[in-house]
Amino acid sequence: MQRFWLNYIHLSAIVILEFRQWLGMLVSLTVALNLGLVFTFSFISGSRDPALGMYVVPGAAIMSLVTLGVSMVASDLAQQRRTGAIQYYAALPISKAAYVLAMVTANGVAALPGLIITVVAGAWLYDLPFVFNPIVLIVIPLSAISLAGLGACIGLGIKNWRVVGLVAQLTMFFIMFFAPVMIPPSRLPGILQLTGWLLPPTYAARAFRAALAPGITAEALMDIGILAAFAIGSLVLVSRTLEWRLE
Amino acid sequence: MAIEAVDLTKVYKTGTRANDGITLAVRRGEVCGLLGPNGAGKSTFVQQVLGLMKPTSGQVRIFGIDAARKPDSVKRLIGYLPQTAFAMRDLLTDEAMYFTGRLKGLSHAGAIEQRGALLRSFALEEVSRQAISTLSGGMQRSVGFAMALLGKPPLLVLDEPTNDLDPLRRRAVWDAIRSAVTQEGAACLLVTHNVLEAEHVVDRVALINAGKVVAQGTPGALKEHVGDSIRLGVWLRDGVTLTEAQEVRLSQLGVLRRPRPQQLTLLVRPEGVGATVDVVLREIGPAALADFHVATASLEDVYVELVGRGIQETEQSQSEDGTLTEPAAGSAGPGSSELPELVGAGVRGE
Repeated sequence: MQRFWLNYIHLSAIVILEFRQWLGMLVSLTVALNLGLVFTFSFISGSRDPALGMYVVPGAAIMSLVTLGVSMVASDLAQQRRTGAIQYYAALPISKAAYVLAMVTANGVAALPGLIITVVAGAWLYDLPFVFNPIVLIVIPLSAISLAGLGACIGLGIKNWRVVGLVAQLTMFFIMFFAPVMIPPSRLPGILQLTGWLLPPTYAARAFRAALAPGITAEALMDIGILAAFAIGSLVLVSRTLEWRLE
Repeated sequence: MAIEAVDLTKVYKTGTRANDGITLAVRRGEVCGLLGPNGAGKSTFVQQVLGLMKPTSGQVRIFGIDAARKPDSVKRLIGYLPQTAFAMRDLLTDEAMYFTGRLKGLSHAGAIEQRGALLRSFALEEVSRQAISTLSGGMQRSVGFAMALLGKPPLLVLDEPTNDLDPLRRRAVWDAIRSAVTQEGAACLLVTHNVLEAEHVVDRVALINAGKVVAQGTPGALKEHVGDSIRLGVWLRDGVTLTEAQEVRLSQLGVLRRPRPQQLTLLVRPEGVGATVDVVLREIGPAALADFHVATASLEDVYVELVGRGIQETEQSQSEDGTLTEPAAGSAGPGSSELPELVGAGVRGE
């Protein structure tokens, strides 16, 4: 077990250090995308109604995790498979689960600046009375793991790396405009309300919304529970899907 | 025994037979060269040694451990240099080496100590604070080789370790392999196409072709496949070309190869050397020669003789009936009594 955690720490450090030279650009682009979403929704609705902000701002913040978790993890894994880098790790005496968890952690850490800036700017724009709720410390890692798990499934499940990029982009687009992440469920057609319940970003946005308000509701706890199930499920699934053997 | 492969066979889902009954042993304290053409099955064999691929049948044991059943235990014993990209390319050189050491189980102090020694050994100190991806191909190769040595593994599996290296770095790599093997008692499986260079480093050689080991033994023993043949090397001056008729006449003297347009080699029986030299000089003329030398057969000649013939015969078999068949039994090199039959088919490029 000690070896697992040592592997995890070293592999997380490796992935974070690999981000280093791109981190500025990565954070800038994520922040620009999220702030763009926050402002665009305000422009389209012609309103800075706090009720709208309570949907748009947590949703946009979660999009930081979606961008890095779904898109980056998917393309990273596809590229590592393509270049043979994954084979290099496979030949080292390391835990597969530690490798997956390290990728998730690194992407979650890289998403944090974008997430925080989006919340602060959104709170100012929509005049939201956000408070710090400690459950946010659980919601963010669980959201990061479940979203990165979704990205890893795309990156490992699709053989062609170009198709991986395309599917990751489509997934982001779907989450942004066709899932109850930034848009209240009541505004979506019935079928999309239904598919929304199958996607981890829905619960991530709901739990994050609850985490930015005072108190802990039963609904929030249920969302966190479902998010935890998604997180554990995706870790197990990805660890099994990640083929350490080559066939 | 460091590597003990017994009747190792791998058939992919597509039906491709990548390995076909490979039996091979690599002992501690020796460098075993694995030579063979592209697609011969070398990479598949390496993947099985690393525990990354399960054999369809047969077994490969690393220091007595079944690589297919206990891949994690096997990985702790192996230092691996892949032929293509390795990971951590966006890390600084010293970071990548440190973390590789740590992932191999070295302590913090141990990783720093070994990293320092390897950076010095391979003259990498100047680039230690540069990202690996910004280094030249040769430097990257050196870093990859140093990473394979971290942890002083008892088995090194090196895939083309000297690709892209300049002569000094190449020598440093060969010296390091020799040192690991002789001083630390490690074993080394060396996959390479560079047969001439390998001849000076390897203790034993396994020639692999079409998934089978076609010959194995010491370089000296393998050279007996071409008997006591003599190699005539001829370099033509720029602008000089041979006619088709000249090539045919030269090919009747022995096994003729044309590695480059301006170079040809002839493998001939010792008793025919004098006559061959006369014919070569008469056919080509001294004025057209840039260089000319006579030497005993090299490991490369053995390689071309054994593997090249296999390829040629496989191609012939394929073209005749469209199916892959075994090379004909009893075909022999210039050292055998069947030399004349081979000579006529000896003209080929490399």
